[in-house]
Amino acid sequence: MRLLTYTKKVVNLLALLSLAGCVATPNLITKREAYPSLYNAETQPRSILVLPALNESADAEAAEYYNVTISAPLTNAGYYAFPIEVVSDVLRQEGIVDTQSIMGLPGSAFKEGFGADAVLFVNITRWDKVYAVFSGGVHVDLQFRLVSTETDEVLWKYSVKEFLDTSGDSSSGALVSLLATAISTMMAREFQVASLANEKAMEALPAGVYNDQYSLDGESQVVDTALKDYDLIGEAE
Amino acid sequence: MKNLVLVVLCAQLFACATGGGSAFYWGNYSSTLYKLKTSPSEETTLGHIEELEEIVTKSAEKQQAVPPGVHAELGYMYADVEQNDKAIEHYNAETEAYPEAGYFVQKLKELMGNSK
Repeated sequence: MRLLTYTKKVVNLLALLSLAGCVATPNLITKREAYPSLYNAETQPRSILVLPALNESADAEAAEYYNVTISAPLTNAGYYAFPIEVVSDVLRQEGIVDTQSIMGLPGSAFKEGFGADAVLFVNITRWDKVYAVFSGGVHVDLQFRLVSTETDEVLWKYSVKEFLDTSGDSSSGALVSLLATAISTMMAREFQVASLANEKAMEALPAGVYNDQYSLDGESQVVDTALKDYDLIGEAE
Repeated sequence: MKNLVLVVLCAQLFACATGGGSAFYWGNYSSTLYKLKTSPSEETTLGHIEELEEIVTKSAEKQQAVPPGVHAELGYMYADVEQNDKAIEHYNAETEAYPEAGYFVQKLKELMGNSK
């Protein structure tokens, strides 16, 4: 009995460690329980249209950094991802330039335009660069909402918080940030933190057809609190 | 059961470090695309085309599939620099590898026709 309690504690601790940013003890549930539509052959999407991210962070360039980093993790999760900059170009040609207005569109609006099975809305809620002489880093918070273009059903939603500590970088201090090399290092760091945040989120996404875990990962667990924490994008109205 | 959970969580902890074995090869895609987006020029356009071509080549070397969207993006880029034959070639390669892209690629072909 005592061993069981101990194991439970370790499990909780590990869960906390593996999903930094959760404050409360997370409730774990299986992916199949959390996202049943992604285990149903009828509703499981093959192709996902990622829309240009809505940037609600204080950093004006966050979306530019973010948008170029999503294709790799999404395809590695097993989905056909439409090339995001081609997509935003096509949207622009159709007169849709404002990401805020894109967020208000139903998933079904993208069935006809692109032939996508699902649409992924991404909301950047935080993108903070912390500069200091002896410590520094980048905070990135993201919210995801995957919507069926067939039924407008929300198939998956998730939120992640990521922090990349750059204090070990020789170039991270404010004093040297004017140098060109420091700028390109910072650029690499921004890609890195976005990739980390994306990878963390994609671990919670049931695998798509191009991943060898497709239809096999239903029993792996995700943190339930992450699903409840966030209820913001697109559903406000 | 608890032990199983423990194992799963441990695996999860190390998952980031190892990465998947079946991962697509994306090279420096983010970096060249970012440069193209933030400072569009002939140089950054060609730089991104070169990177996309490199992804196609490296994927073949690794005997892996070209990642979804790469041929479509190459086609779009070639259409942009008015190399329509190459554009069509890559658009067709995209639908051949990924039939679910057929509808989208058809749209891109139409856009190419319209802009001429």
